[in-house]
Amino acid sequence: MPSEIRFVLPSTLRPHAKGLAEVPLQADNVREAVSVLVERFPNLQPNLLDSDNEILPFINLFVNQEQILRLDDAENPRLRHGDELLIIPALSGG
Amino acid sequence: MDIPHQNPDLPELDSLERSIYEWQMWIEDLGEFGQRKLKNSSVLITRCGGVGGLVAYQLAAAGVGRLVIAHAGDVKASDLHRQLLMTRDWIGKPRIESIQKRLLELNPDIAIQAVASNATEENARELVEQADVIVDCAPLFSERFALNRQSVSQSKPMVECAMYEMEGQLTSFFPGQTPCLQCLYPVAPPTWKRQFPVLGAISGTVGCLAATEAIKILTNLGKPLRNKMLRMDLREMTFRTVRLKRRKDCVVCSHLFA
Repeated sequence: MPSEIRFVLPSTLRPHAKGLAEVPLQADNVREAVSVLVERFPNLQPNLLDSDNEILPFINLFVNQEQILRLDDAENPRLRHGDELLIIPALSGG
Repeated sequence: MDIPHQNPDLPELDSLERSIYEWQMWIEDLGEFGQRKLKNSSVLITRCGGVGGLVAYQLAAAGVGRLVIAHAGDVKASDLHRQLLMTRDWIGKPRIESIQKRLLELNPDIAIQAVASNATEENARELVEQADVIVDCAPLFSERFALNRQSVSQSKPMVECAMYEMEGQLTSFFPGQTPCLQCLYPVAPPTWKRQFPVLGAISGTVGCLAATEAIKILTNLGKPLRNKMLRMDLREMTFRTVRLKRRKDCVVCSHLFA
């Protein structure tokens, strides 16, 4: 059975996810989790993924504290129940 | 532990300075030796608005000896809710003059190198050459990337601080030891706009934390955010610290790890 995890979205992406700050879903790995997320909120797709379905270069994704550089990296952790997937966008407000 | 005479090259404190910084020097691992290090230090802050203004104010108050400030343009009414070094009587006049005036009112003993322009590809090298530590508070990625390149090429630490709406982010880059800004963001987001929603208390919070990072780096105090980023959602009052990875194909810093 897939693990219960949750995405934490930054304010810049919340308008594309019906205003939600957190999105719980079920997935076993990072790629699957992102796919489920954009399937649920299609407007997130162009704001999160490039044409190769890889994370955009000005978006960072973390599983708990660990940065995920590529969605299909063999070193990516298998998701476990309660994991938090944090999305941090490039900000420049000063 | 206080070791006031460990480095005779550091400037001495006079009696007034000992009084002003007395409570600060009570901090363990800072002491009079740390205060003398601050007096002997220089920090580049660009720009000096909602975030950078608080960085500069705190560093001036803390007794950093020399501040290099880069900020272009004239004061606008819309600056005043967050850019605490700008004053209403200075609307329409150069921001850099208001910044300099306010900082020297607070601490007339510090030296200020005031530059009436923002960081660019053309001036970033010269700006960075004048400082021991960079605090990057620019609202445009082109400015941030120019400073990052110079941070790496001159091997100088850069405190990276940014905010948007009710959120803030903070990390410190140490060339050759940590990722750099373009490891974190290889490409600037095409949709980023110069104007953004901001509450002054949020930009000020990020600025105060960035000043803390700069002081820690200058005095070897505590643990800077090395290979880590602090992410703050102040709407929810949640604080998360994540670990950052360098990119082996980074166009700016990968050669340092070859």
